[in-house]
Amino acid sequence: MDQTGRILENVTQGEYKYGFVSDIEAETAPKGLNEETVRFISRKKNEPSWLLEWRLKAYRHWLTMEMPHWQNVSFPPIDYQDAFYYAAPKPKKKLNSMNEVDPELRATFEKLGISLEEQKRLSGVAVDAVLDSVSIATTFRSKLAELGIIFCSFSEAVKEHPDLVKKYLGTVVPYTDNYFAALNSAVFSDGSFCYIPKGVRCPMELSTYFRINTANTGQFERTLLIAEEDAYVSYLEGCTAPMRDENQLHAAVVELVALGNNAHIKYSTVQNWYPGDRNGKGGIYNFVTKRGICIGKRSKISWTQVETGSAITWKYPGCILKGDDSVGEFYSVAVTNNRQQADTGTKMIHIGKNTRSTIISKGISAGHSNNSYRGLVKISAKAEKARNFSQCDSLLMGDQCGAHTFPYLEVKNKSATVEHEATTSKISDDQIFYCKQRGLSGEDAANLIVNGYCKEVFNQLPMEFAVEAQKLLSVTLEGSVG
Amino acid sequence: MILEIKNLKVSIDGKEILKGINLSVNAGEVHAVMGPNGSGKSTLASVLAGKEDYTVTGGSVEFLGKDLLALPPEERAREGLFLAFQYPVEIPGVSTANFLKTALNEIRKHRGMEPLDAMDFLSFMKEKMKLVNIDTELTKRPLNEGFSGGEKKKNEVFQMALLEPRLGVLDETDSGLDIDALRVVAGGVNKLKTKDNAFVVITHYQRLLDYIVPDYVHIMYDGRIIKSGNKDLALELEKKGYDWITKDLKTPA
Amino acid sequence: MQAVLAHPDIKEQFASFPDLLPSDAFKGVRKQAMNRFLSEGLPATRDEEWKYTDLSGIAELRYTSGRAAELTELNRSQITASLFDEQEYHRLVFVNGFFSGELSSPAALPGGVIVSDIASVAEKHPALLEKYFYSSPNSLHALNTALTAGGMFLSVPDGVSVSKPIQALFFNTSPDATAIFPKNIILAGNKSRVHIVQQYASTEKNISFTNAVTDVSLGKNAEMLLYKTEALSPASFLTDSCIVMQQHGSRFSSLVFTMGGQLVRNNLGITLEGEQCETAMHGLYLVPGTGHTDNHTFVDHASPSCHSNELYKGIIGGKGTAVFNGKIMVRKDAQKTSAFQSNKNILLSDEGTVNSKPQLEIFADDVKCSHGATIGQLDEEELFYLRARGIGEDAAREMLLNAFASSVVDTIQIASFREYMAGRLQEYLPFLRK
Repeated sequence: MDQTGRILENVTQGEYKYGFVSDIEAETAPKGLNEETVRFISRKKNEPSWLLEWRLKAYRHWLTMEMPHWQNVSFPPIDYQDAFYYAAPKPKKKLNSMNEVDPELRATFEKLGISLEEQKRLSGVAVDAVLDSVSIATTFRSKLAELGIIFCSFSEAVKEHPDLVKKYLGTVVPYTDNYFAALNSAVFSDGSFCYIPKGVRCPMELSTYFRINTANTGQFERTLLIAEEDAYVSYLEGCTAPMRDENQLHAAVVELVALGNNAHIKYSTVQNWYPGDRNGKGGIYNFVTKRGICIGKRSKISWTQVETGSAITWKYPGCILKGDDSVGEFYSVAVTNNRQQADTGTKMIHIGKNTRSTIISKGISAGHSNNSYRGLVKISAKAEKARNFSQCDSLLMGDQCGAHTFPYLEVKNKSATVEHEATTSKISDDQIFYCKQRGLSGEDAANLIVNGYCKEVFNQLPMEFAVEAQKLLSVTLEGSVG
Repeated sequence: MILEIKNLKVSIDGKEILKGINLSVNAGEVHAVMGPNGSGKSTLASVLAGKEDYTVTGGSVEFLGKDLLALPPEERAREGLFLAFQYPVEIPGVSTANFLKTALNEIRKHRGMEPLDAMDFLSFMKEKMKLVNIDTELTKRPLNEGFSGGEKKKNEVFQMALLEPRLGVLDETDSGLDIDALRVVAGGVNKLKTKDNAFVVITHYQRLLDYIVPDYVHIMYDGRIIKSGNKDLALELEKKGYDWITKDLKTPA
Repeated sequence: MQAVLAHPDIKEQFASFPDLLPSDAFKGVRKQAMNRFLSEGLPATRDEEWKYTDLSGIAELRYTSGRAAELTELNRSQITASLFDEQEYHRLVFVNGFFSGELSSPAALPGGVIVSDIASVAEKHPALLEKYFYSSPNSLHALNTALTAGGMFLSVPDGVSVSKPIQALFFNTSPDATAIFPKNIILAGNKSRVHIVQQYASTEKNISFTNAVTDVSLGKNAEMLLYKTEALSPASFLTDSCIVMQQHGSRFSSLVFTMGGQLVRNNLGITLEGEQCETAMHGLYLVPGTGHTDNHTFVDHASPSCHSNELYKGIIGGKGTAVFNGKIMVRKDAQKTSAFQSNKNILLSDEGTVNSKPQLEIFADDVKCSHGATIGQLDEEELFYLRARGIGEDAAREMLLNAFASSVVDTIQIASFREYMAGRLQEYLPFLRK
């Protein structure tokens, strides 16, 4: 085995570090999925009747749909009747401050390395933590409220801001959109809601940390972010899940609305859900629909994602660029190792004039994994002078993995400019040798090279997340980084 | 009179760049236009050549008695206006020789002359190449593609020699040239100078004016010509720097 | 022109199409192939491979075989005008799908080389063809196998170099809707060398559906140029599949030049079976106002140390649509592969459409692969530069379009053919701006 090969061998043996189970009693819906499950969830959450109706419509529509098959992944069929659709930690009482949060729960977060208090103190991140299906605590809420910013759990938003929720829910991702969006619309449990009023620049990063805890729980959270004219918000989403043998389904929906002129939403995700063990046993199925719409002129939506976990990932965070001069961005690092499969990318739909989009995607495959970029750039006939630039690079580590690129470019306007580039490469023995000659260990060298390769994307992340992302990357590729 | 610019005002994306330029150029004259970065020198050159990104908001430009601003870029070229670009664009796939033959014959047609056939064109081109000491190899390559900075500028002066304009506008042709290339470029211009044509030489530095001696020197600042004089003005400017001119303007009137 | 039926069943039509191959040797396999077609029909847009190309227009005509078509004096002169110099090329002509001995002129060929019509080979030496009437990979291929009545058969023995290029011209003249199924077989032995120009052309008024299959095999260290032109009438359909197998050290270079036609779909699939193969794929598609051109290419790096290079360029005018789908597959053991792909499009009108889908599927790590795709328009800076030198706007645009396309034409290694193509390009460009 050559030098690189040995290092690869080492790094691929990294084990999941977040695999532990919190011993918190959960209140779960009966196993299985039917109309009664939907009603149960809605009842548990004391939802208004319009929302129940909406859920039921989505459920009935879901029954008519078929599981999509076009992705470049394979897995055994999912038994939707063999899962719990609602699991909430039994609340002892309503929580008013961080101190009232269940100590066990807080310890869970500490193990994850996201001490709420610490984050509160050090980074000024307002955290909305979701454990299984219910939002636990939201920090910094009152401070944000002073600025007119609403940041709360989705369930609270339904109660406290029903008009806003009713007006925008399902407008970017309708329940008819796809199989998993329909499923989510029927059984979504909780998630985050955020509204930034006109002219307000949210002074801190808003953050949600998701964690799937209860065994056999599908997690279906729903996020809705709305930014008015001249508003700005940066939102961070992080995910971890304990180690379990059964595959757990995660089918979230995220809707972003850059409503007013110059509205700007930045949405960053670091996902390190349990990827399954070295032989592909267990792990999360991450089938997520994320989409934003730029309605205002010069409005902007940026998606940044670092995907290191999950057994299977399908997600295509996209932007509908409707407002003239609006901007969509997608920066992605997707790492797969062992038996992981990822089919991820973006959709940029140009409708308005002078709309611009940028796609930077970095795929890293190691072990026996398969990593696909799939992206759509669509320039409609009216999108005068629309521009897109896409760069999709793949890095292969080892000779048992696969890297795939499937861009779809559809252009119907002659003044548009669309450019797509993709390359595939590996870390060369020369590069490793060069670093070693300068005194680095093989693994450090590989980490250095991989991080350099991902730099363009990491640069888009807020500082504290960028550091975490780099760490995750080296953990995921541990023993496999060449 | 070759060129007469009267109170020319130009803006781009709503921002006014030229704020009332007046300039008259007669046959046989060489005018130097100097000024700091962002003063509007290159805008002036581009507007004269007819670049579409700019909006003329006021004033007039007469070229050989015609309303220059009413003409599309190719008509301006055929009338005898030549812009030596600051950044000549690379055009892959278009051979320099073929391009020049097409351009020359269009201009000849406009002047009521017979087009040159391939053989005549070739010998005509060879003659002009000597002027700027340009390598034959260059004309076989695609237009400006892979040319060095110096080669591109030489190619501009070579084209000017070939197309024999009435007015040559050199937009910072000296920038990025080493001293040898500068001599060749300037030497070319000096050889092309006759009593019937004229040149407007736009430059940031006085250096070029050691080789091309101007009859007039104009100093541009913030979209206007703020001072005009003879070649001594350039020397004075070199000695004292642009602050010398602009400091008077900065104090409130 | 024959009546256009409201809903003629395309399956029924072809099920009762006459079998015009003068041989009984392939009855079984042809029947199987027909059954395959009958069970699947024409590919539909719900099939990912046909997502952007709708063949339903093909099913709207009532077809006859080209046998019945009459050849007028005018047609004859049109065909003759399309033939290359006899001194420089071996010529093989098919009119409305049938071999024309009268118009063909294969000159003296080096020892053992066979250039012939599939129909006559099927009649006299069916054993030679056995391998090529195989069970089909898809329904269009099956339809070709079931109904072919002719095509080029070319076999070059080991070590033989054919000095003159071979022109294979398929010329369609019938103003009545005809369906034509050329099957071409090109076999190049070890260390052989052959250059081929394959042409699909028609009269301006022709209405036809040509469904062609070309099977190509290159032996060890063989060298082949396969250039194809497609210049069909605005009412013609062409679906073409070219399947290439390359053995160790072979070198293959292809060019597909499409101008016009109502709908043209080219499938080019190349398998690099042996090591150290080289393959080059070039394409130029000029899509007029009402046309639809679709190029699907697939290069399968199944062995190590091979090199593939692909450049497809297109200019789309009017309401034309261009589709490019290029896939590079690098198999698990195909280390030291280098594969490059580039697709560039210029969209001339607001009503045109370009759908480009370059794909990489890589399963080996020690490889160099890249692809790029661009869709845009002529560069304004370049246009201005040309105009600032006195060149009129239309002329400047044409000059730039020519320059854009010439990087493909310039790759042609047969000088006379290169000049011919440069001329065709020049002629055709103004047509795109209508």
